[in-house]
Amino acid sequence: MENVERRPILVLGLGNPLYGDDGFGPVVVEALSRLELPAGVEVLDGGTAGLGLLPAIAGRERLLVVDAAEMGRPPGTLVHLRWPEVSLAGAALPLSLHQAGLAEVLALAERLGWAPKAVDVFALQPAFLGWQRGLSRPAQEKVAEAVAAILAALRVPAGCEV
Amino acid sequence: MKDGKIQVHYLTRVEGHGNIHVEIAGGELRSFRWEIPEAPRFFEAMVRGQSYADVAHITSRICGICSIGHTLCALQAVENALGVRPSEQTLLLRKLILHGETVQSHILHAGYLAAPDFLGAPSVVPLVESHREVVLTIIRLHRLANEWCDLIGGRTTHPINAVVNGWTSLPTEEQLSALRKRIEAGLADAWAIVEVFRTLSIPDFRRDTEYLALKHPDEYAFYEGDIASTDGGTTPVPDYRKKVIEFVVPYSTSKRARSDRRPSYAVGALARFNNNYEQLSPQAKKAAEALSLRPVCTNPFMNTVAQVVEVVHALEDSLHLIDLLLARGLCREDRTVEVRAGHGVGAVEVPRGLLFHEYTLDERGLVVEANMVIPTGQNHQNIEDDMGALIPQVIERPQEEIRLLLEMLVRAYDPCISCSTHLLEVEFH
Repeated sequence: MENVERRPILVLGLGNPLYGDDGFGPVVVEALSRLELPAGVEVLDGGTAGLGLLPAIAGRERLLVVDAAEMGRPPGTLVHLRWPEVSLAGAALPLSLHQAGLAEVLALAERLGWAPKAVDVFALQPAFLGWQRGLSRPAQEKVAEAVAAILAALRVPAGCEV
Repeated sequence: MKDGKIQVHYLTRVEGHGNIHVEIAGGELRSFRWEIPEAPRFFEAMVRGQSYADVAHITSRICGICSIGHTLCALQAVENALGVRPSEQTLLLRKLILHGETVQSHILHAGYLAAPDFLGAPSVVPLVESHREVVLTIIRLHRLANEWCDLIGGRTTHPINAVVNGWTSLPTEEQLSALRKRIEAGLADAWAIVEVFRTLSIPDFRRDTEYLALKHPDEYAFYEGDIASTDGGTTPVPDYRKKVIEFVVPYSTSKRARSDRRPSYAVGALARFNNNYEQLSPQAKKAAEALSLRPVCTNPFMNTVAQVVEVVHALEDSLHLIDLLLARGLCREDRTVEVRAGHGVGAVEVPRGLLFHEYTLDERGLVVEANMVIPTGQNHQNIEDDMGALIPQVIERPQEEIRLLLEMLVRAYDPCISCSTHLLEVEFH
């Protein structure tokens, strides 16, 4: 286990597939994992592990996150954000595992000097959130677009415009 | 505090959202409540109509922290419904991965969420400067546990290798030997955490209550056993509804539970410790001694300390489990099961306590009825009863101190109020 070479780039899907469009991240990384990816890229379904994600994120060169996000945009809108151009609400609050787990993990990683040099977030404005398995139609229709956007981002060095 | 209200909305550093309401007038406690305002969940409905083979994968998503426990509990219930008893190899690997999750979750709670209270910090982030070595030790243990669960389960959380009557893939003997070495090193780290907790002062508060946990004749029970009570006696798992009686209160959407004897009871690390102390591993007993934890301990703040003791136990007992696996050698096994109609109950000790899954299957193996009783639901009433006993004892203290004590009390139970969504909120500038 210890000898496994850690790949420098992590694509991380976050969310709960039992909660409607919150499952967008896991669905997208599942689709990505069936494709041939550039060398040095690891794909991970992070589920709802919250702070538990720290070991997976620590020490990566680059992190690409795909997740549902409340952005006040029309349902089904897919947005490509670059950390830290946006603030994730809750980042400045005392840690709680529940909500913006990602912001907290990144805050802790940063303090430890382990934060990835570049973070891209592919965020979907959900159309439906609630206890139901599977994505809404607007979210389903965005899976292929998210996969393509992530593949495009992986082809260019971090920090450059896609 | 003479008059006033304590209101804590969205208590931080617990898994999910919970509110504390306290009203004090003329130096007397007027009212107190522990509210869970989150929407009720519909997991039971979600598995209805699903195949016996998919139930464990679906329910593993109920919780991002206890996902292995949910998986194993679902498998157990399904296997009991189908009349299947898995092989010794399957059971040893299940116990091994469950220990991995116990370490993962306890370290997360004791290290990242509870330790800041005792060290006087608002969160773990500032501890990076003030207690860097402690934080790094916590992270090392956390990483070990993650990689351990990944090796056995095929993923850090939400395991994919664990299926009805077996495993879809097995670790190699070399991988298990490598894991064994790392767990040995992890034991040294766990002792460093024990040393940290030795120096912390834990609030002194006791309230007599009932503690429920699984009990097994041969081991400190995590994976299987009967339901034992510190009031005496055991109940077979299939009869759990006779012991565990669920109810609801109007101001909280989460189900609560009482026992057949008392209006509230507790589950979790302290409940296991109180029921099964004699079966702890030798080093875990030493850790308990070092931390002045003795059964039956009725101080709920000591639950976090019991978690630290269990980390030592889980690590040491895993060395033993790996030795057993290596001695017998690993082999692919027949996993076929005969699908039939049936009813089964599973019970597993997940990090936060006793978890039940119950399924009724039709002749095609589809779920027609389901019930799940989660540990945090069972603890809610006990938390509220603790508050009722604690507040009058500390009512003379300043409001802020009472508030912190109440927050620490809730956090000590390591509640998982809703380990469900974690939707990002994005603000554009």
